[in-house]
Amino acid sequence: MRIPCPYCGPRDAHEFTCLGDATLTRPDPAAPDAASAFHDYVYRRDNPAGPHRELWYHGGGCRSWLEVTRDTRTHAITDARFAADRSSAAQGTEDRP
Amino acid sequence: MSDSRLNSVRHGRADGAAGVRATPLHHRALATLVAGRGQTAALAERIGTRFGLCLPTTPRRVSSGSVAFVGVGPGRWLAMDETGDGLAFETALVEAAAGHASATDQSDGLVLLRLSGPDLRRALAKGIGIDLHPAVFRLGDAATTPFALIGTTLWRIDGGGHAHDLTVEIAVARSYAADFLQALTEAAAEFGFDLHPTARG
Repeated sequence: MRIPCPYCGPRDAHEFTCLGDATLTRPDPAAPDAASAFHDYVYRRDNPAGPHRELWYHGGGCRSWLEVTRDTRTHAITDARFAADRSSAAQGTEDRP
Repeated sequence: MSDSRLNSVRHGRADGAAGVRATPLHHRALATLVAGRGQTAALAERIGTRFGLCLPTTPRRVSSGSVAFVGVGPGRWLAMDETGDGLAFETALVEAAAGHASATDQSDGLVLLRLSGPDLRRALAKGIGIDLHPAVFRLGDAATTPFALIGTTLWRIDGGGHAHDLTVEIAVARSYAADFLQALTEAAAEFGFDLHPTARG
């Protein structure tokens, strides 16, 4: 499987580490229901068949976190972008990391 | 040190010209340059003013005079000065960056080698997972990728030979240099490998 790194270009999956689901948001640890929210966050993961957004770390290359859209049935990758672009947009900052 | 130690040592195939050659590049100042959050544009302006070049935003090597910058990641560069002392170069980078980036001397942290020879691409292909064909990996192109699972950054330079000859410089962490050279020696053995004795780091 090759992952099209937006900085390095297409690279073998061995250069990357998969963290898993990119669609989850870490719960607020100060919230009153934090314990159950974290239980769901850690253990109650979906296992979708089809396109899935995942976090991959390019440790063998540019050391960027990527958000990769991968079809879990075929390993076809339809999108790969810097994960920081998503979080920086959310934080209103203009740049990585 | 006897005179014979200054000559290259042949490994693997003994007859004919060497297919792969490795020469150490000592005395080059090396430093990492890492832009602060949101500071890449401001940093590029400062570096451009100070060193007279345009910081690459892609995996490329850009040089001006004795100084070069190799893009190794978003907002990250490997900077080098062929004439400078490591600490002085780090200081020059810190002053030029003026709070927009951090710079760290790596002159002792990395081993730098120049690799050349008609069979270099075939030898590197045994341990590296990217296409180094000269039509794809062009002069000035750079890549950060493992060779035999050992992290490296390499960039293509003009070796002065035929346009399709591959000559690269490659940076390896000093603590991995011995293992890297062992893997390269085995990969290049069938082509005849000339290794300069001081390349052992």
